[in-house]
Amino acid sequence: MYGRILVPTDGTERSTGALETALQLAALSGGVVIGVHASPPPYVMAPELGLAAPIHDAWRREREQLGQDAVAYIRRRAGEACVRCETLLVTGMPPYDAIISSAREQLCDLIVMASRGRGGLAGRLIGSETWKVLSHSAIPVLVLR
Amino acid sequence: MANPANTQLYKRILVPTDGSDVSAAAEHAAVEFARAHGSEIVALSVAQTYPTYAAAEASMAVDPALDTEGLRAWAERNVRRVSAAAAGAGVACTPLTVFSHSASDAILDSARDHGCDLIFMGSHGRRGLSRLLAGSETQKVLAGAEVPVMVLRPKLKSS
Repeated sequence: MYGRILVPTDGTERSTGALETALQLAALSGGVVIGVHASPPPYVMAPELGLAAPIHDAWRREREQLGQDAVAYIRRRAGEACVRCETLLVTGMPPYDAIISSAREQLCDLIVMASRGRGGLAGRLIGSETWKVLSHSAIPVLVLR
Repeated sequence: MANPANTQLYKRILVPTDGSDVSAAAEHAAVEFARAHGSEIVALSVAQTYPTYAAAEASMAVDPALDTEGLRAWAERNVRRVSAAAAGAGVACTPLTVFSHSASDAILDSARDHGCDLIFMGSHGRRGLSRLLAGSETQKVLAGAEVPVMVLRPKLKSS
C-alpha cells in the first residue's frame, strides 16, 4: 500500500522499532524504505565568535560517524529483511525540517517514526521533533512508542 | 526474526470519528489500509458529555443532560459512516459509541478494551482552531497510546 516509506534514525535504539515496522510495511507492499539521518547544526553559545576550528572539526567528524553508522544499520536490516532501501544523510538543518523536506524530495507516501528520540526531556509527553513533523507533514505519519 | 512478510502486521484498527471532514479523510485511509492488510476495524465515536456544576445547572433553562439522546444519535451517525465505508470495501467493522468527558481517554480505553493494535486518526478534530497545528486530543492520544498511531493531516483546501 505504501510504496516509499521514510524512516528517520537518530542513531539510538529508540528508532529501531520504527525501522522494523517500516520494513514490515514495505515487505507487505513491495515498497522501498528510505532511511534518513539528520545532523542538526552545531550548538554555538556565541555565534559571533564561531566555534574554534579543531573543535568544530572533531564535532563534525563525530556527527558524520554517527550518521554513517545509523544509516549503515538501516541498510543492513533492510538487506536481512529483503526490502529495497535507500539512505540519506542530511546536514545543516533541524531534524524535523530534514525529515519533511526529504520526504517531499523523495516522493515518500509515509513516515514511520518513534514518538520521541534522543532529545528526550523526561517530562515531555511526545518528542519535540516528532511533534513538529506531525504539524508539518503533508503525508501520513505512523508514530510508535 | 521471521520474515516480516509472513506476519499480519495489524489485526484490529481503531478508527475514532467525530463526523468532521478531517476524520473522514482518516476513515477513508483506514479502510484502505485495512483492506490492503487484511485487518478489521473498530469504529468509535465519542459522545462527549460536559461536566456541569449543580448550581449552574439549576440556573439553566435547559438541562444539558437532556441532550444525551441527541448526542447518542450524532455519535451513531458518525460511526455508521465508517461502517458503510468498511462494508463497501469488504472490511469487517465493529461500531462503537461511548459517552465520555474526554475524547482522548475514550479512544485510549477503547483501544485497550477491544484489543486494537493500531489507531488511525486525523491530526486534529472538529475543534481544531488552526489547520496548521496538530490538535490537543491527538496529542493526548499520542502521549497515552500503548500501540502505534497513524496520524493523517488534512489536505489544505486553500492552497
